[in-house]
This record gives sequence, structure tokens and C-alpha cells, in this order.
Amino acid sequence: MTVTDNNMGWKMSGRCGMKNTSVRRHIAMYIRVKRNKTTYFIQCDPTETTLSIKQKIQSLIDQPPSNQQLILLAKNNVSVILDDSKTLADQKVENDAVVALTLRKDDNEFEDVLISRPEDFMSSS
Amino acid sequence: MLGRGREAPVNHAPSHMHKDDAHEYDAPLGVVKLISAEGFEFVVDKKAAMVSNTLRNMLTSPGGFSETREGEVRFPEITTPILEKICQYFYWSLHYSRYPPPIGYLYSLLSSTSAASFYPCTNLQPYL
Repeated sequence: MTVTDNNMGWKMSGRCGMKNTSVRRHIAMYIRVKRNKTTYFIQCDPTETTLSIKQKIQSLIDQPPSNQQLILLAKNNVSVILDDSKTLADQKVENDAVVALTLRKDDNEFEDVLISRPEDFMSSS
Repeated sequence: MLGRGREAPVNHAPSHMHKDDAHEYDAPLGVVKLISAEGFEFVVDKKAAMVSNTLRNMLTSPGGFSETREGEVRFPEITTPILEKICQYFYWSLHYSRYPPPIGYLYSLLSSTSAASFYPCTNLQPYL
């Protein structure tokens, strides 16, 4: 499965009476999934479940959803572990949200959240 | 400018692909990885990256660039915060693709990052 068009539930906005040709390029929203030095821009829909997002991530990093944990990093420093069965809208995951990805380690525990900052990698050369 | 030695493994295109998809083999899964000056990676949909005419040319040119064949493009002179803003702009532009994307929006995004004040915006022109 690809990250782009499948299972997206593209919605027509009745209000503006879009032409069919423009529908395919129109995206509902995206989230930024971050781990270490990598950011994945994932196209999604508010009605999608966390599990569906994890399946999209699986196509990118080859880790099954059961080995992934997604954590919403809210602005007030509160982080919420996203529930597989709930939708993004249910969990207040909005467009452009930053979500941390952690993977299961060999000892079956999930690793700590680690998102690298560019300041730590500035080269002086 | 964009080329640089790399030891990363090559992503091979699936062998079952139809010939008509030949121009798609460059970026497996329809995504492309953009790499900033500090080596941070942004994995974006190819469709989003093609908002940029420069990237569109790289991703669709028949000969192909070695970078895009491996699904990676390096931007050694673009810092991480700016490259992230550019990616956000790609998606914003897709979302509002019915309208011409106002360039002023990008500059307002850039000015919101402290790094932008150290970075001459003119350097971005080739990528937009």
C-alpha cells in the first residue's frame, strides 16, 4: 500500500462545487511524524484511526503497527499516547500536528521519545 | 551543488512495475527524502515535492539525477528549520491547489523561524 492515494476517503467539499479534476490533488490534512533526525509527512484524514496511520508508516519503515507507538506532542507540554482504535479527530490530532514515533526495543519495551534538534548538529565548517 | 558521496543502500524499484510506470520508479512508494544541511531527513510525498518546479524537473527528467533515483535529494545549503517550512509549504500549496499559491505566505512562514533571519531568502528561489 502506498502513502498517497489509497484508503484516503477523499471528500468532496459540496460548498465550493469542485471540478472532478481537482479532487485528486486536494488533501485533507497532514501530520509530521518525527523520530530522531527524520520527519515523515503523512497525508491523512481526521476520520482515520491511529492504526491506519501506523499502517502508512509501516510502508515507509517496515515496522508493523504493533511495534510502533505514536505520541501526540501538544503545545502545553502534555503528551498523549495515541490509541489505535480512535480517530485522529477524537484525539485532537489536527493538521500540521507533530507526533513522535517510538519503536519497540529488543526487550519488548518501547524506546523513549527522541527527536533530535538541528542546533545539536550545526557544523562550524 | 546537490550531489554528495553517500554510502546508503540503493532502493531498487519493484521488478513487477509496468513500463508505463517507468517515470515512477525513482521514488519507491511515491515518496522522496529531502535532506537538510545538518543531515535531517524529511520524507514527503512525491506529489507534494513536485510543487517545486526544480524538484519536479529532477524527479521527472528521463535520465534522472542519481539522487532522485535513490529517492533522496540533498540540500547542503538549506538548514533544517527552513527545509521543514518548505515541506509544510508544499502541503499547504497542495491543499489550496485550486488557487495560485501566494509566495508571500512562504516568506511569512520563513520570517517566523529565527534561522530565517540569518538566511538570505534569495537562495531559496531556485527551489520554489
